[in-house]
Amino acid sequence: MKKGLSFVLVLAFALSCVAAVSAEPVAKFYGYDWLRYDYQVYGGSYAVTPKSNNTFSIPRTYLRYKVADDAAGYEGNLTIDINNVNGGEVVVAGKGGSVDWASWVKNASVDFKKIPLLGDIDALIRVGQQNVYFGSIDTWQYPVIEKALEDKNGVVSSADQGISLIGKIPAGFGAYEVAVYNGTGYKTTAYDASQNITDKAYDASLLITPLAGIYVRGSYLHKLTNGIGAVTANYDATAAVLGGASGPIEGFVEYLVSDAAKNYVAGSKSGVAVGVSGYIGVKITDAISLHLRMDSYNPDTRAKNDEVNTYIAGANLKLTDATVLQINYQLDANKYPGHGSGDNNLTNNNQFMTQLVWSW
Amino acid sequence: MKKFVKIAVAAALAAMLVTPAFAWNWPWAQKAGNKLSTQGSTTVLPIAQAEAEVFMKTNKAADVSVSGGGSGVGIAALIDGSTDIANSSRPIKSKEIVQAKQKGVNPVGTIIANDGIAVVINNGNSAVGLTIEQLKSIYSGEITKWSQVGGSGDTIVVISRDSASGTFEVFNELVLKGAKLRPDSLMMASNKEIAETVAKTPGAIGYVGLGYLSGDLKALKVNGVIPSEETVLNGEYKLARPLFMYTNGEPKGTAKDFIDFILSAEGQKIVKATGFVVIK
Repeated sequence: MKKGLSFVLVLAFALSCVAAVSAEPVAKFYGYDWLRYDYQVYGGSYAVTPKSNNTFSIPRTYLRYKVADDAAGYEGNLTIDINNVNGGEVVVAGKGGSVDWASWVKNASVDFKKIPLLGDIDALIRVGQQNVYFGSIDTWQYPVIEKALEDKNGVVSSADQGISLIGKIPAGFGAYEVAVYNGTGYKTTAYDASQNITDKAYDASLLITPLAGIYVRGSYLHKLTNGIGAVTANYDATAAVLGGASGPIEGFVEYLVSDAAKNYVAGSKSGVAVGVSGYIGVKITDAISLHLRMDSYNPDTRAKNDEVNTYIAGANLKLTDATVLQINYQLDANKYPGHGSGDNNLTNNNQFMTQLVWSW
Repeated sequence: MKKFVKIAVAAALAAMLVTPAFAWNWPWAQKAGNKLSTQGSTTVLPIAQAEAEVFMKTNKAADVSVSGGGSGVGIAALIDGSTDIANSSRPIKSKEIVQAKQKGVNPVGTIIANDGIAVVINNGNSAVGLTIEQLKSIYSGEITKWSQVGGSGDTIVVISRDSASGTFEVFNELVLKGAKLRPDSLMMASNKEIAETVAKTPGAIGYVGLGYLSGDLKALKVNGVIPSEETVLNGEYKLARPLFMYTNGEPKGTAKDFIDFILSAEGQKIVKATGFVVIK
């Protein structure tokens, strides 16, 4: 019943957007799909035979609607995120149940570009559910299939509800974002009596482009709450990105630190997570590009043997103006594989993935 | 972890220091030496096409391709490396400069001509001129009848460019100045479409680059000044703008040769012949 209702609502939304586009030339309905095939070998250790699975899935469908009125200085953006997950997924934490297709409002925001109080400053105010401006999570364009470092490891949600000031430094010297969010991510609403979400998250990010081909970005989130349950606790996250590009080559290195007070356990856990990610991409021709990424993530600097290294190699082939084929091999490897009972038996996860990105 | 961090940061720093200093072009990704692509503004399009035709006659080895799409499209193509020259009827935005620099592109603009934005009406309309304030009122919907501004006919049919257009951006900045465009405006994708629609629609009003004026249209005085080369160059005509060609860094190679040709006496004659205004 719920699944059927969800589909009807989405279809009605899509049809209304098409009708609106027909009537209003400054509106646009668009989006993209990820059509994926995975072959995965995982769960093996010295005493356990690894499992494997191979599946077709549609991990992401973005339905996007944009309406802009440049004269009035306003732009609205709406994104519905629909995905199917192997074996289903719990839609709302703590509520139980599972569905094979889950849908969320990923973005629902309005930009105000003409702000009397700010005068001629090149800036806008964005209100609503929007990207979180941190590290590489909001700038990652998925040259490989995996999410950005902080997204993959659940350090920061890719979108949240709040209000932000987004501006450019004159002469193209850089950009900045300052925001206040709920701090709970886009899959959690603040209007739930079972949750105690009182603290807000404050985000500041600064990008500097001193020369063509070089950029540096620093981001800081303060008092980000994992506020499910009765207790909220301080949670800070910091990221620094150093990147560059020249001709057909581009890349960056990111350093990430998060400090979750609620994860601290005297003598055994620090509550501090540290991660590093490096990426390089090479454009061979207009249609073919190669990509490499390596991450190293330590979920807790005091806990033992929990670090994971991720290695990704990928090739992208532009088939048409609307379709790109991605072929990736990804290895998530425990840095300290266990070899005996009682040892940490975190295992390697090998994935061969092909994904067709269809933009429409 | 620490060792990995040190190695990664050192490698990144080395790469950042080295790569901007040396243009790194994979041999198989390079275009043939004399191939040049230009893309962007539909206002600049007729200039670029006319110039390319003559340039290729005198430079037999050169192969210049010209396409439109709008100023924003051209600049985006320069940033992603799919065009050598971005034609633009507006200055590049700071957001575009930031994006370009992150991709290793340093956008440098050269003014190749001037343009006046002519306000045009159907030949059957008796209106002679409007003030900028009247234009703003018409385009925002405050004035809806030609009788209110000395014209003939009844309802004013408002025609505009879409927001991807540099022509619209300049019109928005110089005329609307923050006022909201009336929602029932007919939106056209090019100067040519506006010219054709106004020519066949009684009651219509639109705006086009000077190069699109013809006997099928009537150009209005704006603030008492008729749009012409003379009035654009001497600054009397207020709805005027420079036209740009943007390159990645200072123009070099065939791009430099082409832009130098446009700026030469012969090239500026072609600018004038296509109905635009030469640079001072």
